[in-house]
Amino acid sequence: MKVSKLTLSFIFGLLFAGLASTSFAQSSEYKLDGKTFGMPEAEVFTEDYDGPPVVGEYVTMLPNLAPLDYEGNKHHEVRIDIMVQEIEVAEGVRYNAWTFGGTVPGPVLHVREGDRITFTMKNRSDEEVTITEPSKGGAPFMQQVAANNISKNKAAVMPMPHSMDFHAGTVAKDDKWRTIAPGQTVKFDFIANYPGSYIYHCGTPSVLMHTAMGQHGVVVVSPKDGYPTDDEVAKEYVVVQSEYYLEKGPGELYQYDFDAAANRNPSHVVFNGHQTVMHDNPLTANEGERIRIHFSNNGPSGTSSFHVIGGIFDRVWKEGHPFNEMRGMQTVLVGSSGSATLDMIVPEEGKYILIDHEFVDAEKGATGTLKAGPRKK
Amino acid sequence: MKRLSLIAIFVLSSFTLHAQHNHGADATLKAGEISGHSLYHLDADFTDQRNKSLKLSSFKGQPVIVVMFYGNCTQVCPILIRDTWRLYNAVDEILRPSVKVLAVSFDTENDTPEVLKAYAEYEQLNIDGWHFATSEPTNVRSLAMMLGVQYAKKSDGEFAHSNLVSVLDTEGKIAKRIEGLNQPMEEAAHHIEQMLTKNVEQ
Amino acid sequence: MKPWLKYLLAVMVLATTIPSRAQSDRVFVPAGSFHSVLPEIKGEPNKVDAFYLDVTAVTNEEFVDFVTENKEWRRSEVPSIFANDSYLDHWKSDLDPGIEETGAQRPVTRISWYSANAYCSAAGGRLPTLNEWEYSAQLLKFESPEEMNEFSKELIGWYSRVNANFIGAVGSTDIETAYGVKDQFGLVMEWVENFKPIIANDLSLDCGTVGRLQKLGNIYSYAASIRFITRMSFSPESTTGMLGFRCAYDVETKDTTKNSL
Repeated sequence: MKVSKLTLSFIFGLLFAGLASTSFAQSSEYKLDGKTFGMPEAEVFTEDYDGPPVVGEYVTMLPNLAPLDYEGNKHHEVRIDIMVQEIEVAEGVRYNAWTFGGTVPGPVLHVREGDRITFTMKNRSDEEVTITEPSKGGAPFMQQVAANNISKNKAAVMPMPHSMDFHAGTVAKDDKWRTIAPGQTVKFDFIANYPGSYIYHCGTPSVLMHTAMGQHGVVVVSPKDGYPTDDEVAKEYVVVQSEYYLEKGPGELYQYDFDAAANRNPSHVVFNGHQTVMHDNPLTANEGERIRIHFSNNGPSGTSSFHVIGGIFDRVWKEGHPFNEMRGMQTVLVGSSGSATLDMIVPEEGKYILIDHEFVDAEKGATGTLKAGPRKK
Repeated sequence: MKRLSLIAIFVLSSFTLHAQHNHGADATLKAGEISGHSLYHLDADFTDQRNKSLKLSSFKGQPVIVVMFYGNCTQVCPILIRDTWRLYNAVDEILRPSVKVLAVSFDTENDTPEVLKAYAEYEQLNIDGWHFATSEPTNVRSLAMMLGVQYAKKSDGEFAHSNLVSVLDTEGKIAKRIEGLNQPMEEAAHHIEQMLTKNVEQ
Repeated sequence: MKPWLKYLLAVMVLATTIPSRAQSDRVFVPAGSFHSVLPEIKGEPNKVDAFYLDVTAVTNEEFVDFVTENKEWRRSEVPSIFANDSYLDHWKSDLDPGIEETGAQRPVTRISWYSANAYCSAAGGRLPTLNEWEYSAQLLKFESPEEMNEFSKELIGWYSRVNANFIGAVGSTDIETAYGVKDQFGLVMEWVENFKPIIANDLSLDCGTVGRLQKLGNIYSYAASIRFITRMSFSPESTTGMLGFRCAYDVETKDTTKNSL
């Protein structure tokens, strides 16, 4: 990584953004109802960057969530680059995924309500990027992928325009979520004004195709005053449901099936990106523990009737907002790009199945295992 | 309008930011060399309304206002040309003779030097420092690409085109882009004045 | 007159007038019209005059000849305003594309719009316009709308499958128009003269764009929308591993007269 050049382009980026702004609607920061709005204009530039594609202390691989070990608010510097990776989504099913950070779904970002995020993203779809080797300065995500290469990633190259749309952000989409060409980098700020779990995805048309090709992930925004049961929670996990629309291509690899996507007929509906990953690596807990699942349905097009076989959700915060509390729910209906924060008391030692109770989806893969050990004395 | 300017910034960023990232190399240019991001690299011959041949690099050492238009355009282009005049005219009177204007036509078929001369006279702009010019279609398109101007000939012979006034600095790099019609020109004029006074000081 | 006969005549006329790429490498595309996802007038087909188009995309071998002749387009020479840093960076050196590794007759990629434009000028032609390219691309022979939909669906699948590290040889796709133009689909994406249409200014690239472009109600137009949108995102100095080009050539007035004999 050539730091000097990088810094230069940043400085001049700022300079030129200023010069070019004659006809651009300028926003300046303001507060309303305790929330902060009015982010500076996004920057688009080219940089000589070949460092770790995912950077940020609180950026992890599913189902992990980085603990927030700081008080109050923090200014996060986060990078999630775009790469093409040949990945496995089920046994024998591999395709050239368009990814944020190299995995499907992309990395989990954890912040606190009110935190500012300075986000940088380079469209590296035109270069081979290896994400399975630990790299210095990378996010915990990088180490976790290197240690647990579930999808058996191989770098591939397919230059396409891409963009980033964080549902956790409240900004003008034509500025911050703008499409960048291969080789370009976009950088912008947003404030996590609302608590909850929010998807992010590529907003470049065809949005259906880009999202189905793998470009989605989750930002978990913890409420500034927490949830009422925080002190009792033993384990926290993030579970993302999503669909693939794949068919066998002429070679070994699978490819995007336009008809299936257009007709909402997924080939695979999965938790955390792979048909069997949550059985091969079950979530773990112990009898009598309260566990929390941040559940997000990243779609692109399906709904989820999320249920845990053998359990009842003790508390449910729809979209993860502490005001949206419900209790004693067997199944939580989550639409595309919706989420829920779920507390469940693990009743007994044994095995529980996470499932989309729309059984057609379950039979296409939307299931996972929660393995409970004995009650801790 | 906002979208237009957004695209402008998008295009501009891809030009200028990239430009600056080789800034170190630019700083060490030897005499006679031109910056990697100078439009002077377009080694194309333009012919103006006086039938004089010129290249972009003919303007070396002088700021030049560049606009793209076509002669048969009766609705928008007169405003665009007037905008160009407003910018030129906003430059301090003493400095103004050092500012050049290059107006290049998309309509390579119809806008011959003779037609351009008539156009310049009609607009009362057949004056020193103003060049209404034409060139080979490939050169006109290349210039448009470098400036970030889009145009296409429609089947009725009219051109759909973006409205842009650009300022090239004394080395031929894009210093300013004014996107859209009837924009304020003071800031760009001030920028040109600064370039010129810097030149005098050197 | 049968189209192939017209083509033959045209080639005969031009054989002595155009140097560079052999005349057998280009074909005559007669005037016509096509329905575009970006129509000039809503609901009306876009009209296109006759032109010549290269049968295949320009190869690494051909581009070596060009940069040998035109020193300013070598990767060590090209100014940054004309090409991004990755310009021809898969080549071994300025004049060695490393054919033994990439394979023979591969379309040249990692070339900018400016370099493609210069190549075509030097070859006595120009880049095809957006309308010319799209018009030619639509001159595929389909037996039925179903067959066209199947083809278009496969084309969308191709975008999701392709790996720029492994591009086939020109002419290898078996996709050929009625006039003999090969590989407009399934090999690389190609530069056109006006790749950023005017409407690019009015379309923000978002979720609705495909819906707004897709006016024709078939899968072909969906695939076309993806193609238009991808092209709009390029800058003229873009140099990606999936971006190649072919040249078009004007039909001289005298040739047209002779063609119609």
